[in-house]
Amino acid sequence: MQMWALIVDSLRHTLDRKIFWVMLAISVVIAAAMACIGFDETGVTVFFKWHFDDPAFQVGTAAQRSFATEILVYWLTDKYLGFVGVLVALVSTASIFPSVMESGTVDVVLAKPLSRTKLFVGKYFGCMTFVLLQSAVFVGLTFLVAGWRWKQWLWAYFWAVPLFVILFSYIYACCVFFAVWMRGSLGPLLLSLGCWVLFFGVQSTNSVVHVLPMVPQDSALVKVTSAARWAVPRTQDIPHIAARLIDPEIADKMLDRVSFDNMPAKDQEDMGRVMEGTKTVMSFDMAASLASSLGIEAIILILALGRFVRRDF
Amino acid sequence: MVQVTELTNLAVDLVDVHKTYKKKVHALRGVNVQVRRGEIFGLLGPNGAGKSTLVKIMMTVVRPDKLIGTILGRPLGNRKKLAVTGYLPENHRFPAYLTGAQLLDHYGALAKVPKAVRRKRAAELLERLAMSRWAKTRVGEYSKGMMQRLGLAQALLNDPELLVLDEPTDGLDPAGRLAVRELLQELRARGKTIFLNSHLLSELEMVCDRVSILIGGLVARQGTLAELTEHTVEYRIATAAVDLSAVREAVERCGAKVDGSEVILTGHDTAKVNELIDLLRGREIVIESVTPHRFSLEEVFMETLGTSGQS
Repeated sequence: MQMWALIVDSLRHTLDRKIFWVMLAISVVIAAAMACIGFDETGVTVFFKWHFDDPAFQVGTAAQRSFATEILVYWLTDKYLGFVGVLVALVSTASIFPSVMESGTVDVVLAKPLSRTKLFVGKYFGCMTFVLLQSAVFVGLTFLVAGWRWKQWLWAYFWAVPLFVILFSYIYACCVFFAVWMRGSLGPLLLSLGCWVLFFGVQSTNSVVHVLPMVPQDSALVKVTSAARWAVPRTQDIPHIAARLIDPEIADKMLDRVSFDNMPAKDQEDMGRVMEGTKTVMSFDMAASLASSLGIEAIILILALGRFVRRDF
Repeated sequence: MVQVTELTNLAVDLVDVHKTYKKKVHALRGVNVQVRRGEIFGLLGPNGAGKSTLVKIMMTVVRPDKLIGTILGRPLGNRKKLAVTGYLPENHRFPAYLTGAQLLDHYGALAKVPKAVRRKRAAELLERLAMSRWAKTRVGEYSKGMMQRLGLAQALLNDPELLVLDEPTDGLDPAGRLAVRELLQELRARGKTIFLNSHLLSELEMVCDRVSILIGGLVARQGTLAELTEHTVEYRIATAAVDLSAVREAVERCGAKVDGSEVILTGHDTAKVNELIDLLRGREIVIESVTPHRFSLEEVFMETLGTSGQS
């Protein structure tokens, strides 16, 4: 009863914010934009009115399927959910913990027969439920449009929902960690965004040193950056995991599609090594990536919980 | 052991409560507070005396450095006892996105009140506190007085055995204050224990059975109102005489003093009052009135504050 009440309260809190409705409106606009293009057995229809016969874009062709999956995987999952979605979800939920800990609010809640751990966990999962709902609405809406207009019922696209929640949870754990030490929501929000940039930087550095031709792969620099990559939540792995789960071919295709034909021979050779290095970096173990990242998130949350349980309000 | 402590007559039994903030601010320095079951207990003290810290410790919001004691016969923070405790903090803030009814339902759920019971009690309490018509209005639109009444309703939703109220009449108009006083008296009549923390001494005086005066993190005085004011009763014997200098010496031998045309005796000794009357009448001095005067709680408080050097 208590856990349910906390989750419902967190949902009410987030649904009360205008930004949720703005995001919902944007989701509808994106779905409507997708619906403007339709594929059938003869070609493409634009704005439900103008039809163009094109054998390359008939339903079921490789080009049509590639178009659909690239939009869903690369643009909607990676770019929109993975960046805009996380950012908006953070802004929507950053105030939840600070408002719970506000003097005058926390007093009433802690006087109830409710453990601080349960309060913490309830609020955290309340936020996750909100993000889950928000992403499920978006993915559900775009899935339906892709099925209806593009004839691509890509059920694996629903992997984007849990993966988005996991990605958000990596960053939100940092936000909660800072929130239990500070007052207000702006500081934790900015610091958690800083952590996101830090995680990105650590992973990017590792990727870069892996592909730089002048850096020997057995050098200390590669070893250190590889170790550092495992020491932070691997946010950059999520889009690749999404691509692998939704359409296992698309990640490889995206790399293979890059052409270096117009480059001088020396540059072509260097870029070839870069692509090989990139493939090496991207050929990570999904389970290990998720397990290590969730483990680090759990450590951050346990530290935050420890502070939350012990502190005076 | 537990059964024995639960059977004691004390709803709150706190012994040697210490709390220091950031290793330098000594908020409480060995406070002892005992509240009997079924009484209204008032906690007084100047700003910074440690009243709110003590209340927050009772409600597990603040952790004490040292404490021996029980609430409703169980150690502090016992969930079963928190489930039968109601609390209204000072300057409480409720989520603005909830309606009054939603807020009561939410806090009722956190207090483990079954859904059907909390719906029924919420409706009753909103009616009792004249808030029914605002039940579906968002709390963000409430006035301060309405927030206070809603706060009382949430504190009472679990039908508490112990009710801890921090400045319960803050923001209420005179009619609202009267309603709260009547509610507290009604709750006491039903056997509930009420722990009141308030700056409004006159209000405490009207409802409290016992009070504790907290000064500088220590209990300066504690007892029933009669006990606290016992030594501060005086009798004023008004006479028709213009000058009482002829009887001054005799009056002072009785332990009283002369103030213009009045004789003032401090204390409860009615025999001495009669002795003084006999003395005055024996000198054919006309007595116009004999008025007993008990000091108010405010006067006792100010006197205690003065004694402790904190006025």
